[in-house]
Parts: sequence; structure tokens; C-alpha cells
Amino acid sequence: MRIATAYAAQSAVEGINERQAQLARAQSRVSSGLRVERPSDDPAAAAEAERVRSRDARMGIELRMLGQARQMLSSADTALADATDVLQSARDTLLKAGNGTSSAADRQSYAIALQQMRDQLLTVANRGDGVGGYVFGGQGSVASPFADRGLTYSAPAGTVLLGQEMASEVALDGRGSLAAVAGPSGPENIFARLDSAIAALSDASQSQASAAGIALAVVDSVDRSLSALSTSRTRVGERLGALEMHAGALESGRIDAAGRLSDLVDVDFAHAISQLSQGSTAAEAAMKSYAQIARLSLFSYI
Amino acid sequence: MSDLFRIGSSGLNAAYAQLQTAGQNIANASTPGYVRREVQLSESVGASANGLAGSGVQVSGLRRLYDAFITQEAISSQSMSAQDAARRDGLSRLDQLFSDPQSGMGAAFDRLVGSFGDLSARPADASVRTASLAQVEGFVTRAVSLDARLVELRTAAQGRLRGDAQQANDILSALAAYNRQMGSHPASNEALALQDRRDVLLADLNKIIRAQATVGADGQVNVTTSTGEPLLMGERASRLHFIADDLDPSRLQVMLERSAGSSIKLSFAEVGASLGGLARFADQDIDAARLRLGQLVGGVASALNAQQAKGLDATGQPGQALLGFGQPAVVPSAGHSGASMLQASITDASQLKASDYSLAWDGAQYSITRLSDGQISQYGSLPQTCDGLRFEMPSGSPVAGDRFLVRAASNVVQGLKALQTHPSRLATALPVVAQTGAANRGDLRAESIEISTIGAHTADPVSVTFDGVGSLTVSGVSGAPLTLPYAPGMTLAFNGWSAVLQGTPSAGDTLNITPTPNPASDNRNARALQGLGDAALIDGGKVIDRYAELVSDVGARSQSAQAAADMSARLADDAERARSEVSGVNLDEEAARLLQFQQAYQASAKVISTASDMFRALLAAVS
Repeated sequence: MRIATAYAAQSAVEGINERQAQLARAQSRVSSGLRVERPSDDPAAAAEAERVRSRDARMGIELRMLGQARQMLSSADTALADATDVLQSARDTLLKAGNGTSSAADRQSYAIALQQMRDQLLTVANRGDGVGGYVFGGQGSVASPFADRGLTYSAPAGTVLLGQEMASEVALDGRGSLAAVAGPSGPENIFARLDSAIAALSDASQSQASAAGIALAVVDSVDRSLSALSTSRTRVGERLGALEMHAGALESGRIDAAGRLSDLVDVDFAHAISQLSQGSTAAEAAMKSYAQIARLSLFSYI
Repeated sequence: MSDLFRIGSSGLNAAYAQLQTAGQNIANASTPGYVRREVQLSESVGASANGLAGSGVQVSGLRRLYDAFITQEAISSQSMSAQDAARRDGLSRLDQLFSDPQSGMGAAFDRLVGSFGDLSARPADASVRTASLAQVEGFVTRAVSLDARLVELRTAAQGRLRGDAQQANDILSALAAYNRQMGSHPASNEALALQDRRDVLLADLNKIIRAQATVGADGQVNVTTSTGEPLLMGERASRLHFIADDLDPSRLQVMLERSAGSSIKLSFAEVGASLGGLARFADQDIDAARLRLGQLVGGVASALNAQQAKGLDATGQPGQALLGFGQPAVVPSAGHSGASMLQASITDASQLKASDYSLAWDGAQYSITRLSDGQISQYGSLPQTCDGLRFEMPSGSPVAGDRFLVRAASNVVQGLKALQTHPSRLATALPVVAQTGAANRGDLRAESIEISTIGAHTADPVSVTFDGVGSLTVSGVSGAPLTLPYAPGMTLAFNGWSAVLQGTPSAGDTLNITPTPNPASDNRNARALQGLGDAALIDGGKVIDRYAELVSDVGARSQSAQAAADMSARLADDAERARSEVSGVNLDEEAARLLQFQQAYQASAKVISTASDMFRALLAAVS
């Protein structure tokens, strides 16, 4: 076999070029930290990485929505607790008014106390949810849902769902627990019921027995409202628990996704660095051997 | 005695010629295409005076060390290598466009879907609405700029095609000039250098277009394409040029103009080499990416628009389309004779395939060909709907042989734009709400409400009452009151909405469908918009799966083009080594020859000096 000198030189130069290109690729992988720098490096991994990235983005959004749902439900929980406290005090006051020994002056002072509690309850019922809506906003309300001093519930009854993967009810329906609580003879508005007690207690012309009777009847309404509030609160607690679990699952899902993404596209540094040092040895060998062989010439001896 | 002088001087001449040739070989050791030469010697014919010896040596010629078969092999493998390299270079640029996942179409779509999630959390917040519109705009910008980059890559490849063809024409002219020269001095020594030059030109030509050369007895070369079309006949060179493809004007068609002035079409497949590689990249690889992109964007845009149309915006108006996109473009073929004009429109972008179409009328039937896989559907009449596209011919009648190109998916991104600029235009609300009666004792409820279309009566109040026995009475709809048997899970559909009923009602329980009182704070359609993120919008696939397919398709094309280019470069290198083994100069070999010829020269000189000594000795003896 003859070797043409120009071909030998050309092919040695090409060999060195190729080694250097390999070295540059290995170096680029180490410096970017990526094994798949462009889709052609591993088309299947690049496609899978796209899916994992997308899934991770979805989980990120879901977590953000979930954070807001938790905030809204916490506001709801607090509002339910506050409403329960207020109604509990009202119940105590109504029981005292109804125990049959109170004087007209006592009843007057009970009426004043009840009026204050009713005002507090209205404030709680129209409380904001912390993100621009209302805790008792039903299917969405742009104004205080309990209008007309609480006598009219203006929000559409129902609730709002939040979350794509786990839809969670985040708003309270003010109708079933306050504005139109199911009673023996149809729905009762708790504010109207308190109003009737206040009117009876502050009316000096009412007989003691009649006023006490009205107060005790309102206690029954308050109890029904308290029971509805308690059911709501239980549900809110359950939802918060479920959200907590879902958030935990999403967070570990995101950690998995990050690990999966890293497996797919990130460089294995031990491997990459050994490739780099192998590559640099190979490049050095190519250069050295060429330099040595190229020096060999018959002309040196003539 | 004079014989000896003649023999010596012929040896001197021969050695000198050999030294000259070795020198020429050494001087041209790195000249591309140089074929090493060798002096051919033969013994001179004729005997010396005494009949005992011959009459020396003569230089009978100069030989190029050349193997036509091996050289042809080297040239054609370089041609293949040039073809693969041209495609690889293009694809590596295409590949680069998809290198950063965070700035890709997939990420842009996910950010848009994420913004709908934020919108469902706070529909009344104007800043969230603004951010969501910005993501719509971001999706548009990303798609439009990616498509523009793809078109740029194609334009650049077509520019290279023109440049390469020009170079091929220059080479053909140079070969014609070579033939002219060969005609004037057929067998001179100069011809050896001309032959080298000819082979270099043929090799260069083959890097651009696959060509076959035949060398005639007169030394002239004739060149044809691989299918036998003449590129060079004697001194007449044909010319390559381009015209717009008659069916698809955005593509180039390569033409061969013979010197007579008539042009014929060549196919890029038969042309091969860099022209073939570039054309495959420009016409197939880029098109495939653009079609997939168009399919994806069309599906996303029409799904968003359809979902918008099912909702109410913050002002209570029915949602308007969010995105405008390109309808199919119809291009009649160059030979179109009839007055007919085809119209094509997208009826269902979710069924769009990543393909363009051609429609042909043969006098009896319309054939619609899906160009991506060649599937043909035949119809006797129009309009017809196929793959989510409607084809119709509103005026004129076609003439047999009429053909049209319908650019469907590839035209979608052209004209893609965001249509809404005001944040309130995002239709986050549904038009109706279902509320249970305040006095209900059972738990009758509407589980979910879906909208098919918003019509004039969609928001009409509708009331449903349970009779306590097993039937619902519906009032407020046409033909009311209607009585329907109740079963949990049943669907109630009127006026463009449908609701799934659940629960166990008591007698007199009611359910009321009423207009949504506060559309600005209703998030139900925003949730539906977000839900599109993982819905099968694109020909039965999710957006992200289709995009991942696009990425892996581009990656796989680039990867396989790289592998093919590596392989054919190795084959070309092997063939070049084989050629250089025969024809290349080895300097060590020439150095050895130099020594050999120098010694021969010195020896012949010694023969002459010996003859001269003998002559002098003879003279001395005589005088």
C-alpha cells in the first residue's frame, strides 16, 4: 500500500479536527450540564423532557391555585367560627330572656345586646375572602352578599370550584346556613328571626310571657342555623385536609418531575468528565503521533 | 566508439527526464487533483556498429498513474457525501431552533394554560386578566417567530441552491473550454495537465450535481446527468436554472436548459449531490416542521375560540374569538385552464392533519390527495369535507386536468394574531347558573352546566319542579310545561345549555336556571379554558404530545442526517484514500527515486567520460 504524502497530512489534520470537535462537545456538555443540548442529541429524551416539563408546569399552577383555595377556605373557617361564636352568645342571651323571671328593663338590655350581636353577625356574613370575593359569596358576588341589613341574600346560591385536577368548593353558600335556613314551616332568615326577638324584647307593651315565648322560639331558629354552620365548618375542615394531601402529592410530584427531567437531559458528570479527559488524551495522541510521523522523511538523510 | 557516446547520452537524457518528472511530482505533491507521473522508457531500436550492443535508451512517453474506476468511485462517493452534508448542515440549524425547551412553543402554551388557571382563581382581578391576554400574545409571537425562522431557513437553503447551480454552470463552461483545448492539441504533453484539471472539475461538479463523464478517443469529455440528460456535449454546455414549482410556487424546480434553448425538468432526487440535499431539506424537512406547527397552532386557536364562544366576558357579552389564523390558501397549478376556482376552509381545526392537499379534476371525479402520505379520496361532486377541511367550487366548472394546491396546515400560522386587546373580553363566565329553590327539602341539584352554543334564548329563566312521584315539570322552555321522568344523572338540555341532575328531590323541590348575575366574578368558563391544556385538541392528541412529536421528529431527522453524513464522509474518505494510493505523490518514494535517477545520470555521464578517455587514449597511441 502506498501512502500519498498529501493524503496522509490531510487525513491527519482531519483526524485532529475531529478529535477537537469531540473535545469541544464534551466540554460544552460539562459546562452546560446538559447531555441533551438539542433534540438531535437524543430525540426520544427531548420529547419526553417536553412532556415532563409540561406536567411540571401544570403541577406548578395547580399548587398556586391550591394555595389560594387554602387561603379562601381558611378565611371561610374563621368566618364560620366567628359566626358560631356570635350566634352562641345570642343563644345564651335569648335563653336568659326566655327564662320567665326577667323584668322589662332586663329585656330592654337583652334587646340592646342582641342588636349588637346581630350587627356583628352581619359583618361576619359579609366578610371578604381575602382575594377579592366574599366568604359567603355563593356562586360569585361582586357586592356584599347580605344586602338590606341581611334580609336579602343577593348572591347566587351555590359555590365556586377552584383547581383543575382536584376541584374544591371554596365559597360558602350563605343561604342554607344564614339567609334561608330550613325550618319547620319553610326557610327562615336568621337576621329576620333575631329582629323579631329584638322587637319583642324591646317592646315594653309586650307581656313577659309573650316576650319570653318569642325569644325561646328564636332560640330554635338559632340552633338550626348553628347546626348548619357546624356542618359547613366540618366540610371546610375536610376540604382543607384534602387540599393538604393534594398539595403534598403535587410537591412530591414536582420533585419526581425534576428528577425525571434531570435523568433525561442532564449530563452524568462522572461520565462526561471521563469522556472529556479521554477526549483530551485522544486529541493529544493524535497530534503527537502526527508530529512524530511527519518528521520522518527520507529527505532528512539525503 | 561514437556508439558509446550515443548510448551514454541517451542514458543521460533518460535520467534527466526522470529527474524532471520526480521534481514535478515533488513540486505538485499537494496540488489538488494532481496525478503523479512516471517516465516510460524503452530500449532504442537498432544495433551498434559491431552489432553487439543496442543503441541506448529512449524516452517513449510520460504516463499518468491513474485508475479510471477508482477515480470514478472517489468522485461519486464525494457526490453522495456532499448531498448528505448539505442536508445535515440545514437540519442542524433547524434542530438548534428547538434547543431551549423553556423558550419553545410547548412552554408558551403551558404559560397560557397556567394564566387561565390564575384567571379561574381570580376572574374579577383586572391584572390577572391582563396577564392572561399577554400570554395569548406570547403564544402568538412564539408561533409566528418560529414559523418565520423556518421560512428564513428555507429561503437561505434556496439561496444556496441558486449559488451552487451557478457554480455548476461555471464548471460546465470550464469543461466546455477544456474540450475546445483538447480539440486543438490532442496529444501534447500539456494534455496531461489538462486531464488533471478536467478530473478536478468533474469532481467539483459532482459535489453539486451527480454527473457521469465519458472520455472520448479524442480526449474530449461528455457529461450527462445520472438519468442521461446531457450536461456537456463537446463544446456545448447545458445550463441549470430554477423556476417556481408549477404546483407549489414556494418551492424551486430545477431546470436544465440545453444549448438549443429548450428546457427540461430534472427531479432533485436524480440531481443528487448538494442540490439534492438542499432541496430535500428545503422542501421536505422544513415543510414537515411547518406543517406540524400549523396543525398544532390551528387546533389550539380554534379550541380557544370555541371555548370563548361558550362563555360570557366580564361585561356579560358572549365571548369573541381570541385568535385569528390563516385559512387555507388555494393555488391553481401553472397549467390551470378552466375558469373554475376552488375554495377551501377549515371547518374543524381539531381534525387538521399535518399536511397540505392537492385537488385534481379528471373530467369525472375530484381526487383530493393528502400530500403527507399520498392518501387519495375521490368524489363525484363538491362541496366535500375531508380532514376538517371543506372544499367547494362556488363558481365556474372545472376542465379535466385542472389541479389545485391547498395549503392548509402550512398556512395557519400566516395571519395568526391575537384579536382581543381589552382584558374584560376574556370570557371567564358561563351564561347561566343553576340554583336550587330556597324551600327545597330534598337535595336536587345540577352537578355541572355545559354550554353548546349561546343563542338568543340561552339565558331565558327555566324552572324545574319535582312532582313528588317521579316526574319533573319544566317551565320556561318552548312547549312548556314539559313533563319528564326524573332519574339521578339525567341530562337536561334546553336553549343551548345542558345540566346533569343529581340528588333525591322531595315533592315541590325546584331548580332554577337563571342568567349569571355577576359574569365578572364567575370562573366556570375560565376553568374550562384551563382544561383545554390537557384536552385532545390536535387530531386526537394533546397539544404537548403533538409538540413533543414535532421536537422528536426534528431531532430524529437531524440525528439520522448526521449519521448518514458521517457514514458517507467515511466512504468518501476511503475512496479518496484508494485514489491517492494510486495517483497521489509519496515524497519518500520520490526521494528514493531522486537518488536512483541521480545515480543513473552520474553513471551515464561516466559512460560518456569513459568513451572520451578511450578516444583520447586511442589518439595518444596514434600520434
